[in-house]
Order: sequence, then structure tokens, then C-alpha cells
Amino acid sequence: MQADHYIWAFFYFGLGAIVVLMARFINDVLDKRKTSGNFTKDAMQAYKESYPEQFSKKERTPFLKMSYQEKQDLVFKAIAYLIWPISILLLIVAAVFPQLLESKPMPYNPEDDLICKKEHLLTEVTVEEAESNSMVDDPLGRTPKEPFGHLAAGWREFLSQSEPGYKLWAFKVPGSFNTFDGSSDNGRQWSVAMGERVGFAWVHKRKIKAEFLTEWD
Amino acid sequence: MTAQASEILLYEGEELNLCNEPLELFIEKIPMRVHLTAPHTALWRGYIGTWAIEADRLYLKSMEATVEGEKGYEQVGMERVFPECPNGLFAHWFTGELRCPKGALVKYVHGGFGSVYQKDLFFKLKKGVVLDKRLVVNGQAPEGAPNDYHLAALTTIPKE
Repeated sequence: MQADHYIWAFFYFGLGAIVVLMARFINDVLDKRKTSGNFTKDAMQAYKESYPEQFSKKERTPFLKMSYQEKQDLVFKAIAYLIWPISILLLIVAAVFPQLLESKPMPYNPEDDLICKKEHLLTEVTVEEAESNSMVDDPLGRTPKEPFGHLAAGWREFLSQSEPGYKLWAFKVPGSFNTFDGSSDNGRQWSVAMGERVGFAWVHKRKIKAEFLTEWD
Repeated sequence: MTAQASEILLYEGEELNLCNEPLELFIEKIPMRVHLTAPHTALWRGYIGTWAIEADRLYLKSMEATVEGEKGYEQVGMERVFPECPNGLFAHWFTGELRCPKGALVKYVHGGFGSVYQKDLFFKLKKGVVLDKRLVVNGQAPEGAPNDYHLAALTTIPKE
């Protein structure tokens, strides 16, 4: 019984190796046919002559020294070989019915245009609460004495977008740090906070309908 | 890609170059009476604002903006762009850091505000109020390097 397993495994992987090599050969032949024009050949030749290092045989890199991307590629190829019948089937389906594997465009979602996403919502507030905390302290007196100061017109416009059932939420989009690390950034070694956004959003049935920004950079 | 002309920041009697655009989103969000236009490739935003830190707050004091008039480009100021606030406006929406490069040019980058100068003075603000500042030294400039904010080239945009 044990011996049967080894024989089956030997045939499975042996046949897999032959099929994978044949598929690769057929793929190379098809590629060559696609690029058989003289112009393409000449262009490729010129490119090879200009950048010989890209076409020279690379030394094999030990697995531990490979980049994350290289490791990922290698693991993917190993898995594709282990399940070679499924891989071949997928290749055939991709060749014969390419439309089946094409990703369909996502329908337009107005929420995508907004900066505020569900995870940025902080707390539900009333319009009165939002306005009472929004008066601007301007000792030089150059800011309109109304909620949200210079942004008051935008606030009024935002309020007008409310519909029955809409709830007002405060939100905050956390910023990130843009970091420069010295030699690779022309000597700069600093981080700067960027992209923090604060404001209010109209929310209805867990969907964000409109937003109003009060702080940004 | 072209290096962009900086804003101006008046601070403790000094005129600094400001490599931020605190007005950018404000102009997008607020309905404007005039349509700003880029006179050349080093000023895509169409204006240069002069800012000041007064009473620990960031104020827009004045601006030189470009609009398209009948006879070509026209320079206009605060009274045309923000007629309700001819004396300036408090940037109470700004939360973040302002960067003012200082000293000679260490490395020129022909895009945005990418060039590196000997020092950077940062101001940290919350709702337009200055909370903190810090000076960072970036490195030494090569001999003969320009000693001020530098734009190597720009292309004038003809009026349509």
C-alpha cells in the first residue's frame, strides 16, 4: 500500500513536470509567433544590446536572501506545480474563454468620492452640538462670528443636503508620517505628519451620504 | 513636472519661503468668485499667498493671483479673490505642519517642493494655531549653490 502511494506520487509529479515543461514550450512558441515582425525583432535586439545586464544569466539567489516578492513568486510556482492539473485547466480556460477570468468593473459608488469612510466615524452628534463647538477664536477679529468661521457657507450647504433619517456624525481620518531617512533622500532625515482630516458626515443606513471638512493640511 | 514657486511666510521679521499650500483645499471647497489660472508651469495653483504668524495664528495677509482677463492674464489681489476678507483671513482649518526651507540649496529637484535646502523650519499647527516649531539641519550645500529658494526653469502658458 505504501509502495503504491510512492508510485502514484512519482507518476503524478513526473507527468506534472512533463506537462508544465510542454506548456512552457508552447507558450514560448506562441510568444515568438506574436513577435515575429522584423521591427519587433530589431527593437528587441537593440534593447538587448543596450541593456546586456538584463539579459545575462543571473546567479541563483539562496531562498533566505530572496526579496519578499521573489519568495512569493517561488511559493506560488511551487503551489501551481503541486496542483498542476488545476493550473493547466485554468490556463486552458484563460486561453479559450478569457472573458470568464476578466474582472468586471465595479459599479459606481458615490461613497468612493468621499474622504470619510465608515471606519473614520467617531460619534453621532446633533447639529447644535456641532455648531456650539465650532466658533473660531480669532483675536485679530478677521473671522466671521458664526459657526465654522470662513467655512460657514460650506456648512450651510452641507446642512441643506440632509434628508429624513440622516444622522450627523463627527469623523477623523488619521494622517500618516512622510518619512525621509537620510542618504537616499538627499540628506533629509525627518518625518512630517500629513493628511489628517476632521469633519462631519451625514450617515444613513450605515452609508455615508455627504461630508464637511473642518480641519485639513 | 516643474518645481513650484513657494508661498511666503512672514515670521518674526523674516520673509520665509513656505512649501505648503494651506489654501489648496479651501479653494476647492468654497465657491470662488474668480477662476484662478496658472500663468506658467511653476505656478499651477495660480496664486502666491503671503502668510503671517500673528498672535500664534496663521493668517493669509495678501495674495497675488492670476485670472484670465479680456486682454490676457491679469494680476488680482485679496479684494478680488476674497472680497469678504480684504484684511486677510485666519486659516483656522489648517491642522498639520508647515515647512519653510532655509539656507543654500543642497539638492535641486525639478518638481513640486522637492528641493532640499540646508535647513527646514517646521511649524506644527492645530486649527490654525501654532503649537510648536522645530529646526532641522539637512546638510551642507555645495560651493556656489544658490543661497535662496530656487526655480531652475519654467514655461509660460499662453492664454487660450
